[in-house]
Amino acid sequence: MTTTRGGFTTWVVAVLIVAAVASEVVLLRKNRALQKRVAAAQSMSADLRDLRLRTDRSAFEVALLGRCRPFGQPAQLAAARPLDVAIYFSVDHDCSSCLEETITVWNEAAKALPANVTVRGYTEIDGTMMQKALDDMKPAFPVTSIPHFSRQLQQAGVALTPVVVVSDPTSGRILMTHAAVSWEKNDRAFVERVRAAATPCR
Amino acid sequence: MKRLITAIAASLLALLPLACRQAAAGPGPPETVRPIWTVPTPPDAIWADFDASGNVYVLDYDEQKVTKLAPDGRRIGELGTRGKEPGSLSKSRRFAYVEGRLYFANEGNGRIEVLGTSGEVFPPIALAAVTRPGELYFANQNFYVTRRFASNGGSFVYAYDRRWTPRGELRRASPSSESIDHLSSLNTVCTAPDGLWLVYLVQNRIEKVAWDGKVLLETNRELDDRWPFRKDEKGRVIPEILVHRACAVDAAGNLYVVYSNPENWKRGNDVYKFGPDGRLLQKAFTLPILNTTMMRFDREGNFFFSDGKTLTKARIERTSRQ
Repeated sequence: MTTTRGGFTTWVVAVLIVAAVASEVVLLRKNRALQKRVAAAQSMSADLRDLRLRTDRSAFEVALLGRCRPFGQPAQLAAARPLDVAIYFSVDHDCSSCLEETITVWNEAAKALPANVTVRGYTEIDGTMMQKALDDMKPAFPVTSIPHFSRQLQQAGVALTPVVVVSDPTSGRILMTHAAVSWEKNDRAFVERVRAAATPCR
Repeated sequence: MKRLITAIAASLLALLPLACRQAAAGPGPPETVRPIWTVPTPPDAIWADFDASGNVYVLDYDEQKVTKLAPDGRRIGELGTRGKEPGSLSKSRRFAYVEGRLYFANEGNGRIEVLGTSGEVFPPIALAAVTRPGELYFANQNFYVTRRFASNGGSFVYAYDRRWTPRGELRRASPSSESIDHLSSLNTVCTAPDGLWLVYLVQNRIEKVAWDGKVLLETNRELDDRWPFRKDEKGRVIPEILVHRACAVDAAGNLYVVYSNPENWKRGNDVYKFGPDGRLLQKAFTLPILNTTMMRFDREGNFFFSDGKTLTKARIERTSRQ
């Protein structure tokens, strides 16, 4: 009888030990998984921080292009610099509000910008229906139709329209670009940068 | 003897899965495409029509030009040009050869363009009801002009007689409370001996309408379900919307439709065959090109298909089961 009771107690203790060890193992595993997740989240957060820093930095660098340096006089007072502003767009494929916004902003800009800035539009006018759609948007700057324009842009590595490209007419080099979004304030800020680039530094 | 019977029974059992697979492949006889000739075409061949002499006129979407081919595939001429002026084409996808003239759905210029077989320019036709004609067909002595998009309850197909007198709106987009149906899109049309097959992309639906516009039958997803397409865990067909790229109707009224491959959207060469009653008969064949831009039967029953870069003339042959 005593032996039976003793055997039962041993059995119960053994079961308890096994249960305690098992729960410890489960806990350890969960803890390890949690640690891994925390590490992954921390790594992701660091990556995001890094990405944001880089984005902010390139935005800052781009925003300085074309402006006058804050300190130090220019070596010689240059004459007003000529600039070509080219607006590449697609009546068929661009979001209509983006295109209307871009045309409105540059219609105003074309009137107010210095005379040394030339604004032109480039697109493909395929058929009378597209011509009518473009006429309805009333661009105040000349628009040139280029056959297979989208394909040519793609071959030149331009994947997004509407896009505004500011270049030096003498060298043909692109100085600034701006992929317009449906955000008028952003577009107007870019016009200000073009104006700054076209005005000699003093 | 007993051993022999057992051996025969075992062989039959072994062949059972093969027989089941054969039965599931479809009730119709297998078909094969036997090419007669293949010729290079301008980069984006989108439609072809035939004159009474068997010459083939191939429209290139990119250049908006028509290449004229002899019945043996030789290039014998070119007509049409991209532009806005009368006689010029813009965004034309379909045309019809009718009594020595080619009638184009000149969508970009918002009119019907009329050219002779040597490029002669005839006065264009403006349609009051269809400001942007998307496609144009000639069947049953009438012209059928379609719009690609119709708002809720708007019209898709308009009928005109040979003198372009309106014969009415043949098919309206069904008024629907479902937002997906508010802007319905008609992908393409195929003329049949007894009416028109209308292939809708977004709704994944194929309709057959009689010459008076009465809907004879329509397929829907349930019909697709009869074909063993791969399905996801919720039982939906993969892909959710099958892309019908091109269709053709043979002399018997069977409809051949190209579906995107469910496992590779970029591949559009699997051709499925529907009977004149709309019943999905079988997967007919796989074309030897990757993306089918057009399929057509001519009056002699020759089968033409293109991937834009080439045009192939072929015969469809029904092969007996092995």
